[in-house]
Amino acid sequence: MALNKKLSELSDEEVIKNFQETNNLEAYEVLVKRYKDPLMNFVYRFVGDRDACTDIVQDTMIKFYLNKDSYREFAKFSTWIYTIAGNLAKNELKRRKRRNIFSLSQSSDDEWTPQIEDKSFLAPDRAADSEIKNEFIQRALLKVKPVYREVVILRDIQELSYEEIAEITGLSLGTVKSRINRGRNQLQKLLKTIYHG
Amino acid sequence: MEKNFYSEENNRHSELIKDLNKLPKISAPENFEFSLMTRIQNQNFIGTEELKPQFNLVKFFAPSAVVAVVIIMFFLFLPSNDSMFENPLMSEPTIIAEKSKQIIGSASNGAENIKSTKKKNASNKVQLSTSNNYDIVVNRNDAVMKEKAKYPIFSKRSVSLDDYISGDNAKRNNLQEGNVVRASEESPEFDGFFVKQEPDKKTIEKYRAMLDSAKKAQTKADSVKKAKKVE
Repeated sequence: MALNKKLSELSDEEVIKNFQETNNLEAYEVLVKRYKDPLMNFVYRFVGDRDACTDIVQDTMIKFYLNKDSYREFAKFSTWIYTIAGNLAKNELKRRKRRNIFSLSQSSDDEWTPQIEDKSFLAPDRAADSEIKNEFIQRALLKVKPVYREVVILRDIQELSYEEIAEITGLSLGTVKSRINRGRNQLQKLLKTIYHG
Repeated sequence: MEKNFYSEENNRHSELIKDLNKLPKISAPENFEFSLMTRIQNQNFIGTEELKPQFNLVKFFAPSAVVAVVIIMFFLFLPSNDSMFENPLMSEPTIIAEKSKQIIGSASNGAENIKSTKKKNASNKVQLSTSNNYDIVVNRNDAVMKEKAKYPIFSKRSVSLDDYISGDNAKRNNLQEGNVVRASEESPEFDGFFVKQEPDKKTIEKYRAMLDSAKKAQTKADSVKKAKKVE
């Protein structure tokens, strides 16, 4: 119990160091507890499917468990784990895309696309409703190109710094900023019924 | 500095950013950790292992097979042009020395003058080659041959109309003909067209009679002069 308390007080980097050195599962669990929710949120906003999101985060944690020694101290643990989760989420999107190409049936995504942009469909009072608004934002988010979507989520939903995003995505700071801006522009265009102008 | 630069962008999307921040946070299911630890304890890592690309024999040989098939098709279905084109590797080589004969000059009245192709001597050569012409031909191996010239004038500088009409001048290529006509620097000046004509016997006899009478008259005149001197 004393050890647990001590581990929870340590920084991410110290905890993973402990896990690397002693193979202590409690240290691993501490990090899982810290990151399961942020990663769930990030992956869900990126993929848009709760079940797939749970699987991706589980796989992320297993990858972390199996490849703990590949983590190097000079990097932040948060950016390392976000990179793993982001890559797995991208793989999932690619798999879905491939499946959609070979599938004869239309994807469900295409069915609701016009609803966002069709002003007559969306009454202003309904748009103001936060739940529906959130739903529309999420759907619009999934319509944004993945390269822009990822950075917008990391910045505006996960509230990470530009430097952290650059480290996660492996992009330069300038590219990150321009992609965030483009992503926001795309999103705003898709949600023009809510944001006038 | 950077913040100020991008704050403008943030202002433009301020509402959107606010709403994105307010989106409900998704949390992991309650049994997340339990199922994760169960997977780890059971070593159930299916799905997380890296998929190594397996060696596929068909994929490996497909590109080379396609190339081979294309080459075979090319040889099988391409129309053969053997009759039109002669394979240069199969044909017998031509003797370059014979082709590159340089006619240096021609001889007249038994004297053989070696002529160069320089313009300077061109006019002399024409005068010398009016009768009993011989072409001195020097081969690459420095062997000097004497060939009787076909025409009374330098062959390279003239065009025989008879041969041209009958087609006997096939040995001369278009370049040579063209050079003769335009009198370029590479070939001597153009002498002009001529017609080969057999001399008329009567005319010859007539001219001979005239010459004989002239000679007789000359001899008579000489004898008269001598007689006067003696007196």
